[in-house]
Amino acid sequence: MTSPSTISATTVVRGNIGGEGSLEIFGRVEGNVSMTGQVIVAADAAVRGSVTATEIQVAGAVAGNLTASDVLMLNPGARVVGDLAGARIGIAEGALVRGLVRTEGEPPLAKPAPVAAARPVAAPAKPALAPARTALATPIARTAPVVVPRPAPMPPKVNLAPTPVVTEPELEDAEPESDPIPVKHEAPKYEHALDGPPPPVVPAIKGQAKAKKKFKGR
Amino acid sequence: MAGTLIGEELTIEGEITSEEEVVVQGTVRGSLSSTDAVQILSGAVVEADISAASLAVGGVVTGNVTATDRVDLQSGGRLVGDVRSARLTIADGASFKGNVDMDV
Repeated sequence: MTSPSTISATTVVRGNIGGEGSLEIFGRVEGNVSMTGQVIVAADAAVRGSVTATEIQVAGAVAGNLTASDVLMLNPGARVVGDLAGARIGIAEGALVRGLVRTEGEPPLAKPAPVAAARPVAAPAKPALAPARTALATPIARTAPVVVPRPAPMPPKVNLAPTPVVTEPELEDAEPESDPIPVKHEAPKYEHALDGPPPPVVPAIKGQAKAKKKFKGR
Repeated sequence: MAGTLIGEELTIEGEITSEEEVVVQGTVRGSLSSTDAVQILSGAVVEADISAASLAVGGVVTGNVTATDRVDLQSGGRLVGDVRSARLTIADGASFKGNVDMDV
Protein backbone atom coordinates (compact mmCIF):
# COMPACT_ATOMS: atom_id res chain seq x y z
CA MET A 1 0.00 0.00 0.00
CA THR A 2 1.25 3.40 -0.80
CA SER A 3 1.87 5.82 1.99
CA PRO A 4 -0.71 8.55 2.38
CA SER A 5 0.47 11.85 1.06
CA THR A 6 0.15 14.97 3.15
CA ILE A 7 0.06 18.64 2.37
CA SER A 8 0.98 20.23 5.67
CA ALA A 9 -0.55 23.33 7.18
CA THR A 10 2.05 25.80 6.00
CA THR A 11 2.33 24.32 2.57
CA VAL A 12 0.82 25.94 -0.46
CA VAL A 13 0.51 24.07 -3.73
CA ARG A 14 -0.34 26.00 -6.85
CA GLY A 15 -1.00 23.51 -9.55
CA ASN A 16 -2.63 20.22 -10.11
CA ILE A 17 -2.27 17.20 -7.91
CA GLY A 18 -3.01 13.76 -9.17
CA GLY A 19 -2.17 10.20 -8.36
CA GLU A 20 -3.13 7.00 -6.68
CA GLY A 21 -3.77 6.46 -3.05
CA SER A 22 -4.85 8.94 -0.45
CA LEU A 23 -4.12 12.54 0.24
CA GLU A 24 -4.57 14.62 3.35
CA ILE A 25 -4.65 18.35 2.89
CA PHE A 26 -3.96 20.56 5.89
CA GLY A 27 -2.64 23.51 3.92
CA ARG A 28 -3.69 25.24 0.75
CA VAL A 29 -4.12 23.87 -2.71
CA GLU A 30 -4.86 26.10 -5.64
CA GLY A 31 -5.52 23.67 -8.42
CA ASN A 32 -7.35 20.50 -9.13
CA VAL A 33 -6.95 17.38 -7.07
CA SER A 34 -7.58 13.96 -8.53
CA MET A 35 -6.88 10.83 -6.51
CA THR A 36 -7.93 7.22 -6.72
CA GLY A 37 -8.29 6.83 -2.98
CA GLN A 38 -9.41 9.09 -0.21
CA VAL A 39 -8.97 12.83 -0.06
CA ILE A 40 -9.26 14.57 3.29
CA VAL A 41 -9.56 18.33 3.46
CA ALA A 42 -8.81 19.14 7.07
CA ALA A 43 -10.41 21.85 9.13
CA ASP A 44 -7.99 24.65 8.41
CA ALA A 45 -7.25 23.61 4.88
CA ALA A 46 -8.38 25.43 1.78
CA VAL A 47 -8.74 24.07 -1.70
CA ARG A 48 -9.48 26.15 -4.73
CA GLY A 49 -10.19 23.80 -7.54
CA SER A 50 -12.11 20.66 -8.15
CA VAL A 51 -11.55 17.53 -6.12
CA THR A 52 -12.12 14.08 -7.53
CA ALA A 53 -11.63 10.91 -5.54
CA THR A 54 -13.26 7.71 -4.41
CA GLU A 55 -13.94 9.15 -1.02
CA ILE A 56 -13.82 12.78 0.00
CA GLN A 57 -13.97 14.07 3.56
CA VAL A 58 -14.21 17.80 3.96
CA ALA A 59 -13.88 19.81 7.14
CA GLY A 60 -12.24 22.85 5.60
CA ALA A 61 -12.93 25.23 2.77
CA VAL A 62 -13.35 24.19 -0.83
CA ALA A 63 -14.11 26.43 -3.77
CA GLY A 64 -14.71 24.03 -6.58
CA ASN A 65 -16.65 20.97 -7.47
CA LEU A 66 -16.41 17.83 -5.39
CA THR A 67 -16.88 14.55 -7.15
CA ALA A 68 -16.65 11.29 -5.26
CA SER A 69 -17.26 7.92 -6.83
CA ASP A 70 -18.24 6.54 -3.45
CA VAL A 71 -18.61 8.74 -0.40
CA LEU A 72 -18.64 12.50 -0.16
CA MET A 73 -18.87 13.71 3.42
CA LEU A 74 -19.03 17.30 4.56
CA ASN A 75 -18.18 17.42 8.22
CA PRO A 76 -19.01 20.24 10.64
CA GLY A 77 -17.06 23.32 9.73
CA ALA A 78 -16.86 22.47 6.06
CA ARG A 79 -17.45 25.35 3.69
CA VAL A 80 -18.00 24.44 0.10
CA VAL A 81 -18.80 26.63 -2.84
CA GLY A 82 -19.30 24.31 -5.74
CA ASP A 83 -21.26 21.33 -6.86
CA LEU A 84 -21.31 18.09 -4.96
CA ALA A 85 -21.64 14.77 -6.71
CA GLY A 86 -21.25 11.31 -5.33
CA ALA A 87 -22.93 7.97 -4.86
CA ARG A 88 -23.39 8.78 -1.22
CA ILE A 89 -23.33 12.31 0.08
CA GLY A 90 -23.43 13.37 3.69
CA ILE A 91 -23.73 16.92 4.92
CA ALA A 92 -23.30 17.27 8.64
CA GLU A 93 -24.82 20.01 10.70
CA GLY A 94 -22.49 22.95 10.68
CA ALA A 95 -21.33 22.41 7.15
CA LEU A 96 -22.00 25.16 4.65
CA VAL A 97 -22.69 24.50 1.02
CA ARG A 98 -23.47 26.66 -1.91
CA GLY A 99 -23.94 24.69 -5.05
CA LEU A 100 -25.79 21.88 -6.66
CA VAL A 101 -25.92 18.65 -4.73
CA ARG A 102 -26.74 15.44 -6.43
CA THR A 103 -26.34 11.82 -5.62
CA GLU A 104 -25.48 9.72 -8.59
CA GLY A 105 -24.11 6.32 -9.32
CA GLU A 106 -25.20 3.35 -7.28
CA PRO A 107 -28.03 3.97 -4.88
CA PRO A 108 -26.85 4.41 -1.32
CA LEU A 109 -26.88 1.47 1.00
CA ALA A 110 -29.32 0.99 3.82
CA LYS A 111 -27.63 3.45 6.11
CA PRO A 112 -26.76 6.57 4.21
CA ALA A 113 -24.79 9.46 5.57
CA PRO A 114 -26.41 11.72 8.20
CA VAL A 115 -28.29 14.14 6.08
CA ALA A 116 -30.01 13.12 2.92
CA ALA A 117 -28.77 14.81 -0.18
CA ALA A 118 -30.86 16.54 -2.74
CA ARG A 119 -32.19 14.49 -5.58
CA PRO A 120 -30.80 15.18 -8.98
CA VAL A 121 -32.40 18.24 -10.39
CA ALA A 122 -33.35 17.35 -13.89
CA ALA A 123 -33.04 20.66 -15.55
CA PRO A 124 -33.50 20.36 -19.28
CA ALA A 125 -30.96 22.97 -20.15
CA LYS A 126 -28.17 21.45 -18.18
CA PRO A 127 -27.65 18.14 -19.95
CA ALA A 128 -27.24 20.02 -23.16
CA LEU A 129 -24.26 21.79 -21.76
CA ALA A 130 -22.81 18.80 -20.03
CA PRO A 131 -21.32 16.90 -22.96
CA ALA A 132 -19.06 19.78 -23.73
CA ARG A 133 -17.23 19.24 -20.50
CA THR A 134 -14.80 16.55 -19.65
CA ALA A 135 -15.66 13.59 -17.56
CA LEU A 136 -13.85 15.06 -14.63
CA ALA A 137 -15.98 18.07 -14.21
CA THR A 138 -19.34 17.51 -12.70
CA PRO A 139 -21.63 16.53 -15.50
CA ILE A 140 -23.79 19.45 -14.63
CA ALA A 141 -22.75 22.65 -16.20
CA ARG A 142 -23.68 25.25 -13.70
CA THR A 143 -25.39 28.34 -14.71
CA ALA A 144 -25.19 31.03 -12.14
CA PRO A 145 -28.89 31.83 -11.75
CA VAL A 146 -29.67 28.31 -10.60
CA VAL A 147 -29.48 29.39 -6.99
CA VAL A 148 -30.93 32.56 -5.64
CA PRO A 149 -30.46 35.85 -7.46
CA ARG A 150 -28.05 37.57 -5.22
CA PRO A 151 -24.70 39.27 -5.67
CA ALA A 152 -22.67 36.11 -5.55
CA PRO A 153 -19.70 36.10 -7.86
CA MET A 154 -18.94 32.53 -6.87
CA PRO A 155 -20.57 30.40 -9.55
CA PRO A 156 -18.77 31.94 -12.47
CA LYS A 157 -15.51 31.65 -10.62
CA VAL A 158 -16.08 28.08 -9.68
CA ASN A 159 -16.54 27.42 -13.32
CA LEU A 160 -12.99 28.37 -13.99
CA ALA A 161 -11.40 25.92 -11.67
CA PRO A 162 -12.91 22.65 -12.69
CA THR A 163 -11.33 22.38 -16.05
CA PRO A 164 -9.79 18.97 -16.68
CA VAL A 165 -7.25 17.86 -14.16
CA VAL A 166 -4.39 17.15 -16.46
CA THR A 167 -4.30 20.44 -18.12
CA GLU A 168 -1.63 22.35 -19.82
CA PRO A 169 0.11 25.11 -17.94
CA GLU A 170 -2.51 27.41 -19.34
CA LEU A 171 -4.84 26.48 -16.57
CA GLU A 172 -2.37 27.39 -13.91
CA ASP A 173 -1.82 30.66 -15.58
CA ALA A 174 -5.46 31.31 -15.97
CA GLU A 175 -6.46 30.48 -12.47
CA PRO A 176 -4.49 32.97 -10.46
CA GLU A 177 -5.52 35.72 -12.80
CA SER A 178 -9.17 35.11 -12.43
CA ASP A 179 -9.14 33.97 -8.86
CA PRO A 180 -7.64 36.72 -6.73
CA ILE A 181 -10.76 38.79 -6.59
CA PRO A 182 -13.10 36.02 -5.54
CA VAL A 183 -10.59 34.96 -2.92
CA LYS A 184 -10.94 38.20 -1.09
CA HIS A 185 -14.68 38.02 -1.23
CA GLU A 186 -14.70 34.52 -0.09
CA ALA A 187 -12.37 34.38 2.83
CA PRO A 188 -14.14 36.86 5.06
CA LYS A 189 -17.46 35.27 4.33
CA TYR A 190 -16.18 31.97 5.56
CA GLU A 191 -14.81 33.47 8.70
CA HIS A 192 -18.02 35.19 9.50
CA ALA A 193 -19.91 32.09 8.77
CA LEU A 194 -17.84 30.23 11.26
CA ASP A 195 -18.65 32.66 14.02
CA GLY A 196 -22.35 32.31 13.70
CA PRO A 197 -25.07 30.82 11.59
CA PRO A 198 -24.73 30.99 7.84
CA PRO A 199 -25.71 34.26 6.21
CA PRO A 200 -29.39 34.44 5.40
CA VAL A 201 -30.28 33.56 1.88
CA VAL A 202 -33.18 35.96 1.87
CA PRO A 203 -31.95 39.53 1.73
CA ALA A 204 -33.43 40.36 5.11
CA ILE A 205 -30.91 43.08 5.70
CA LYS A 206 -32.11 45.01 2.75
CA GLY A 207 -35.60 45.08 4.10
CA GLN A 208 -34.49 46.49 7.39
CA ALA A 209 -32.34 49.03 5.72
CA LYS A 210 -35.19 50.24 3.62
CA ALA A 211 -37.43 50.55 6.61
CA LYS A 212 -34.89 52.59 8.47
CA LYS A 213 -34.41 54.87 5.56
CA LYS A 214 -38.10 55.44 5.30
CA PHE A 215 -38.39 56.35 8.95
CA LYS A 216 -35.48 58.68 8.69
CA GLY A 217 -37.06 60.30 5.68
CA ARG A 218 -40.25 60.94 7.47
CA MET B 1 3.54 13.85 11.84
CA ALA B 2 4.35 17.26 10.69
CA GLY B 3 5.48 18.26 7.29
CA THR B 4 4.43 17.58 3.79
CA LEU B 5 4.76 14.16 2.28
CA ILE B 6 4.36 13.67 -1.43
CA GLY B 7 3.81 9.96 -1.70
CA GLU B 8 5.06 7.55 -4.28
CA GLU B 9 2.02 7.62 -6.48
CA LEU B 10 1.43 11.33 -6.25
CA THR B 11 2.21 13.84 -8.94
CA ILE B 12 2.17 17.56 -8.38
CA GLU B 13 2.57 19.92 -11.28
CA GLY B 14 2.97 23.46 -10.14
CA GLU B 15 4.42 25.46 -7.37
CA ILE B 16 4.92 24.19 -3.84
CA THR B 17 5.84 26.45 -0.97
CA SER B 18 6.10 25.41 2.62
CA GLU B 19 7.45 26.37 5.98
CA GLU B 20 7.78 22.80 7.10
CA GLU B 21 9.77 19.83 6.05
CA VAL B 22 8.87 18.48 2.64
CA VAL B 23 9.52 14.87 1.78
CA VAL B 24 9.12 13.82 -1.82
CA GLN B 25 8.67 10.21 -2.83
CA GLY B 26 6.60 10.90 -5.89
CA THR B 27 6.81 13.29 -8.78
CA VAL B 28 7.04 17.05 -8.69
CA ARG B 29 7.23 19.35 -11.68
CA GLY B 30 7.46 23.08 -11.33
CA SER B 31 9.08 24.55 -8.29
CA LEU B 32 9.55 23.49 -4.72
CA SER B 33 10.51 25.82 -1.95
CA SER B 34 10.59 25.38 1.77
CA THR B 35 12.07 27.28 4.66
CA ASP B 36 12.78 23.94 6.29
CA ALA B 37 14.44 20.78 5.10
CA VAL B 38 13.58 19.11 1.82
CA GLN B 39 14.20 15.45 1.19
CA ILE B 40 14.04 13.86 -2.20
CA LEU B 41 13.87 10.18 -1.47
CA SER B 42 14.96 7.33 -3.65
CA GLY B 43 12.38 6.73 -6.34
CA ALA B 44 11.26 10.32 -6.47
CA VAL B 45 11.40 12.31 -9.66
CA VAL B 46 11.68 16.05 -9.33
CA GLU B 47 11.83 18.34 -12.32
CA ALA B 48 11.82 21.57 -10.46
CA ASP B 49 13.95 24.28 -9.04
CA ILE B 50 14.35 23.68 -5.35
CA SER B 51 15.11 26.10 -2.59
CA ALA B 52 15.31 24.96 0.99
CA ALA B 53 17.19 25.30 4.23
CA SER B 54 18.77 21.93 3.64
CA LEU B 55 18.32 19.48 0.86
CA ALA B 56 18.97 15.76 0.69
CA VAL B 57 18.79 14.13 -2.69
CA GLY B 58 18.37 10.38 -2.93
CA GLY B 59 16.19 10.43 -6.01
CA VAL B 60 16.37 12.10 -9.37
CA VAL B 61 16.39 15.87 -9.49
CA THR B 62 16.54 18.01 -12.58
CA GLY B 63 16.69 21.67 -11.80
CA ASN B 64 18.65 24.29 -10.01
CA VAL B 65 19.06 23.89 -6.31
CA THR B 66 19.52 26.53 -3.64
CA ALA B 67 20.01 25.79 0.02
CA THR B 68 20.75 28.22 2.81
CA ASP B 69 22.43 25.53 4.86
CA ARG B 70 23.52 22.45 2.97
CA VAL B 71 22.96 20.09 0.10
CA ASP B 72 23.60 16.39 0.48
CA LEU B 73 23.69 14.29 -2.63
CA GLN B 74 23.24 10.77 -1.38
CA SER B 75 24.35 7.53 -2.87
CA GLY B 76 22.00 6.61 -5.66
CA GLY B 77 20.88 10.20 -5.99
CA ARG B 78 21.06 11.99 -9.27
CA LEU B 79 21.20 15.72 -9.70
CA VAL B 80 21.34 17.65 -12.93
CA GLY B 81 21.45 21.35 -12.31
CA ASP B 82 23.35 24.05 -10.57
CA VAL B 83 23.87 23.99 -6.84
CA ARG B 84 24.09 27.09 -4.76
CA SER B 85 24.81 26.30 -1.16
CA ALA B 86 27.41 26.99 1.49
CA ARG B 87 27.96 23.29 2.00
CA LEU B 88 27.73 20.42 -0.42
CA THR B 89 28.44 16.76 0.00
CA ILE B 90 28.38 14.23 -2.78
CA ALA B 91 28.32 10.65 -1.68
CA ASP B 92 30.02 7.82 -3.47
CA GLY B 93 27.60 6.46 -6.02
CA ALA B 94 25.78 9.70 -6.61
CA SER B 95 25.68 11.30 -10.01
CA PHE B 96 25.83 15.00 -10.53
CA LYS B 97 26.11 17.38 -13.41
CA GLY B 98 26.09 21.09 -12.90
CA ASN B 99 27.87 24.04 -11.46
CA VAL B 100 28.54 24.57 -7.81
CA ASP B 101 28.52 27.93 -6.13
CA MET B 102 29.52 27.86 -2.48
CA ASP B 103 29.50 31.60 -2.00
CA VAL B 104 33.26 31.65 -1.60
